[in-house]
Amino acid sequence: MKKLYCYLNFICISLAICSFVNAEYIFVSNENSDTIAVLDLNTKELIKTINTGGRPRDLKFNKDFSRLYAVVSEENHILEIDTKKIEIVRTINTGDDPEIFDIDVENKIIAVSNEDDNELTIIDLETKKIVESIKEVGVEPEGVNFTPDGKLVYVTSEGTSSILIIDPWKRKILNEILVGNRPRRGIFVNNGTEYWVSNELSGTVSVIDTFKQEIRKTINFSVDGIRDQQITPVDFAYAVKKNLVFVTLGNANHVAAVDATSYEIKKYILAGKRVWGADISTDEKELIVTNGNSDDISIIDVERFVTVKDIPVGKTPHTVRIKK
Amino acid sequence: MIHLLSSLLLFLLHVDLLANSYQFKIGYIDFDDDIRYADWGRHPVDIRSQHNHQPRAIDGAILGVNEAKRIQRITKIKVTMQHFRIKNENALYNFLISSDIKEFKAILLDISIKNPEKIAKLLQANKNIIFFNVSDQNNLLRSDICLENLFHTFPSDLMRTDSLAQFLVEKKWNKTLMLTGSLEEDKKYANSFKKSAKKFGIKIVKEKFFVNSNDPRIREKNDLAFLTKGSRYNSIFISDADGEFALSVPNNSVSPATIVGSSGLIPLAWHWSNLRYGAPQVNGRFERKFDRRMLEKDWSAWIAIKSITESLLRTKSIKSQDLKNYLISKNFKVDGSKGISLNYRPDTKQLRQTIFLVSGNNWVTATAPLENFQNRDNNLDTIGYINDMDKCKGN
Repeated sequence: MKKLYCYLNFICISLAICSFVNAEYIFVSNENSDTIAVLDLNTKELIKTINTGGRPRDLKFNKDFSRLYAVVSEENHILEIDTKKIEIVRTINTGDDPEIFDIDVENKIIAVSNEDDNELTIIDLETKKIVESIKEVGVEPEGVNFTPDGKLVYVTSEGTSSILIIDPWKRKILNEILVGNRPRRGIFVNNGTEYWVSNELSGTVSVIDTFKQEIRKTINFSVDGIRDQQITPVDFAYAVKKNLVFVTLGNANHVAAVDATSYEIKKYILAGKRVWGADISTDEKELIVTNGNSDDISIIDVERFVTVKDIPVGKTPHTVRIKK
Repeated sequence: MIHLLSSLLLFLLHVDLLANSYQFKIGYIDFDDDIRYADWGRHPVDIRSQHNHQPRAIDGAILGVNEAKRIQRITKIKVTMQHFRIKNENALYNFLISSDIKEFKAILLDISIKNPEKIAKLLQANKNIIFFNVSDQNNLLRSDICLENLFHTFPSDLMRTDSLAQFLVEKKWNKTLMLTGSLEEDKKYANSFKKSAKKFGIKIVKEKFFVNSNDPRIREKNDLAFLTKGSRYNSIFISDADGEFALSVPNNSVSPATIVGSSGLIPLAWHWSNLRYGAPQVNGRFERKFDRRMLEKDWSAWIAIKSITESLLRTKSIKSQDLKNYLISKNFKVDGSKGISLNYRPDTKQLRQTIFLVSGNNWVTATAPLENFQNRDNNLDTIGYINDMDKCKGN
């Protein structure tokens, strides 16, 4: 009997471990409750809450998804989180008020925007040390994206309505492109030939031709029954196989599904209040967005373009990332 | 040799580029004799002088000019500012007709105007200069005197009283007792509230005039027990530019009432306690530089400079006509870190903006326009003078 119990116990534990290892997780940073909520992607149940300290915001995985990096703005550092154990393993100093960051494709360096100091800080991922802070990166720099080849970084500067193109290896500002008002985030689309930028106060998306380094197209939005001033685009999610870019429209409480080649808007999907952060699952079936003013996330069925579930996660959910 | 030639050519090109970078000179005018900024009677431990202490708004403009340096990479236009501390309004008349003023493309006016008609004529004569009123809330400047080259970034009295009226109506605290002080400004503010009351359907139960004194012979004018007796009101609007009497009114009326105006809930263009839409970053930059809180006049001066730089950035022109046209065009949008893009009313040249209703505990209790008040075109037009209903049309 005892043997059987042991055996059963063993099966249970190994099953639990197996499901743990294979599980896909949703990570959500809650800016005002100082936590990262971890949910199971299949069941959408809360598995664990990680206490981060002051104001966690942007989240990014390394290339094999074994680590999640989380910026904690008021603590002036990035947390490195083991995604199997769901535990904090170390902290990396970033300089003052870090907000958004990105990791190059080889996982050699992190580039992080320091909103208060108007800087872009470059961190060596091996030594976890700051190598350089590039100064005069506009006013209130925010969105940071490495080009898909890892050679350059594009930074959005909210205060100067511009995009700065920076060589993080030579630590030099190469170019600056004027876009709409208060550019928040960007995303590389169509194999890096285009960089899409959300202009929060213009209510538009600028499509930049990355070869010519100029604006190719400005995408306008119009949602039935909603004032143009309420349309405040922030974040993106890119469904490559479906050739769709999702744009969260902030105070318009909708997400736009945009065709990546024709720029045509396929659908406006209702989400929560001030919808901003976004990510898409590997199979491109589910889009998950954070709603900053209703303290929840919305799960959107990408086949049907409808929100199927809203889950409360914490105060002011900022960024969502799905472990793939 | 070819190398030498090409580098010489490059050098010449560089010189040419420098020659092509323009300068945009901004002037900033405030008065030595300005009672709002006066040090007279101020004592460091007296709450009354703390309450009334207003630092000069030039700090906001300095922050704006600092940030303007960052757009130089794109515009190749250098923005500079020169400060003129002039004695008083009489001295300003002379300054406005002097040749010193001609070199400026834009001038910020941080003054409280005593003779609007006279100033208006002098500003009009300088039609190549764009003026920004950054601290005068007089309704008259937006209703009767509308100049082609005078923009207002500071909210008018009417924008403030309309915001309060919306709040009182929404809360159904719309039976209001008015307490009005003796200063000219107090009367103007009270008149503005009456206008707002009519617009939004507030019943003014009575208007009483208070005197800030302890004299028992006029107790019906200085004692709150007498001033607030009766129970037919559920809110009190107090108009007291001086601010001292207003301090004693909250929690001190005979009948329970919410207090708005010069104390209680105060309508402001900006408050440091607002933590949304990038406001903490603006406050942070200001506080690190000047070691004090950013107040509404500072914000107003900052957004005036930002309006200029936004126009330079988009038009890439330094011609005043191009800039004026752009400022009042539909395309103009400026980010004031209030969560909504701001622009100017084409007729009154008033910056459309939200107003914070701030409690005595430094908390933004509400932001006007309130959600339920809607305008056909722009909800920000439910507060203040709206284009099609005032005398400015066609001015």
